[in-house]
Amino acid sequence: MTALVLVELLRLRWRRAVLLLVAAAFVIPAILLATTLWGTRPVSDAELRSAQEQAAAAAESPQLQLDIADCEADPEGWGVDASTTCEEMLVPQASWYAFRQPLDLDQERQEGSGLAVAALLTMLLVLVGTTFVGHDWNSGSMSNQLLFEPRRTRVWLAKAVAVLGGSLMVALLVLLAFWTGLVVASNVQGLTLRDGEVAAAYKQAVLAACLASLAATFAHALTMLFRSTVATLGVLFAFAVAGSIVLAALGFDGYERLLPHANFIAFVVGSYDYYVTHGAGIEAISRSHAAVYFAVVLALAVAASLASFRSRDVP
Amino acid sequence: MSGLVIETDGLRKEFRSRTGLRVAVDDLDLAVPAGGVHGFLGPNGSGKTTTIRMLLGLARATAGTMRLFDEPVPARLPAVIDRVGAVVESPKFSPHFSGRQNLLLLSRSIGVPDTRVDASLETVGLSGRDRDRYRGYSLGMKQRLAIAATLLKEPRLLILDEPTNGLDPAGIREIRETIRGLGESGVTVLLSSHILAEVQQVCSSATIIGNGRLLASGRVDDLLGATTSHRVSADDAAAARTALDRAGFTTSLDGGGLVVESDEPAAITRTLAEAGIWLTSLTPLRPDLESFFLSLTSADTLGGGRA
Repeated sequence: MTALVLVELLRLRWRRAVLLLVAAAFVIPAILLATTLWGTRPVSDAELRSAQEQAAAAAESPQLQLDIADCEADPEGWGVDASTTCEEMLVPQASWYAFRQPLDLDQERQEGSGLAVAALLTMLLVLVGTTFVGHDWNSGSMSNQLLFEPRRTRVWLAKAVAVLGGSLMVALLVLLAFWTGLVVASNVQGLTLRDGEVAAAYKQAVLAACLASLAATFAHALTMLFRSTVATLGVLFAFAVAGSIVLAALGFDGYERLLPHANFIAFVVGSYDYYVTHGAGIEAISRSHAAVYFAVVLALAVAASLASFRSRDVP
Repeated sequence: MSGLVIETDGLRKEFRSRTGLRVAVDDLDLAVPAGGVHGFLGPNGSGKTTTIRMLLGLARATAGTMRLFDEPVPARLPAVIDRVGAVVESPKFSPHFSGRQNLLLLSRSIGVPDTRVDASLETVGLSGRDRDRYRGYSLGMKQRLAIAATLLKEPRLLILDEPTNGLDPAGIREIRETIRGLGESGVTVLLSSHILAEVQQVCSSATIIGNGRLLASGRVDDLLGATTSHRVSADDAAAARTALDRAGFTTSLDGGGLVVESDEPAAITRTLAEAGIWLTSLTPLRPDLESFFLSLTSADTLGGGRA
């Protein structure tokens, strides 16, 4: 079995489509990391000076003087209360021209780039799992492999282990590198991190890596079942998009609990809130619910795939 | 121990489709003795490849039993697969890998050292092109690579399904010599081919099937039978025919001359000599495999109602 797994890992490494997808799995998160860091970088001295000049120029505007006079005549109409003055409210400040949201690990983790990288990585690894075995079927080389190892369960498992192991390694490398980049940037910028913020980030990295590699294994199982890359991608698309539309159209309360993307967010982030028409109006999908959801989907796919591969003729 | 390398009993394969049930193999009893080259013949669609695929575990039999090296398959296929090399239909490798990469993946899956890959490539004459991508190979090179793959295991049984497809005449001759050599070295070769002259040249025994059913099986010499006619050449063919007819022989004329239905060349010679006619040649006529095959398969087609 070990020899078979090593052969499948070698096959995985030699597949050019897999290499391209893995390269994309490194490059695209790197671009996302760069854009995140660029978008949350501290305001530079030059930017601050420019903002001060813009604020000073705006303060000279005749219209501003008219507005201040109007405001002082009718402060309530301008929304000015006792805590501030018309001048404080209307005279432009440098910060208005040089504001930038600072890097916030929790926000990146819950709804920002961290979540986006996890989703993107999952999609790329699903493609890896699909194209890897899809190629064996498309080229007909599966039958050749079975002439050397006729125990189909072992062949299926060896490929699955290779996909799972290879995907997990790539996903862990990418996600740990991504979050390390954000943590280092936070430290370099001198930001104060909340208790447990870094640990939560790395926990998400590990959980997302596990989910992405299991998704690749799920894709492998489906491709072994349908024996075609295109058919598998079609089914996945139907499952993710058309299935969601049908569920939404049915419109029963809590249908979100069956949606793949809602469960994905719940598993990676910790929970996913959705609106209901009864009770408190908002309910949440927990991580444990999402784990059970994905475990059931994966188990069904694996069982169907193995049963099919063991019993059907191989062209 | 039956002494048979391949044995099937009542083998049947059905395919179900929207158009109905199709029986590809029907109650087939196949017996291939150890050693030598055994021809497996039949028209296109007669069930040869399906039978081979069932023997190798690629297709499930609907009914019947199969044995390889006296082991029931597919149940015990893992125990004997290391002794079986096979090329089924067209060669099937990953087109983006080189020939060498394709063989390395197969050899490592069964724990064969990489040096065996080099030896196999050398044997089939692909050493110089082993790092080229498979998709760039000619059909002949693909066939050679498929045969190289079978040699990785040093098999005791070689199953070759149309192994000379796409080969040039020199390649066909090389493969024929390789097959003959393997047969003589003790390897059992099951050769499925539609080139009957090729089969007749290398096979010691043969099985002929049609519409999935066994039509004939046995040693090639036994299948073709004894010589039953002779071609006679004489200076005066008309006089020779008259003399032979008078003596009670059945004669006929074909494009090549006078044909006498008799397995007694001495009687023919004596009859003509007594009539003062001197032979210039007397050639025994023996049915070839192609004629025998065509007579069997055409009869099967004409009478061949299917279940």
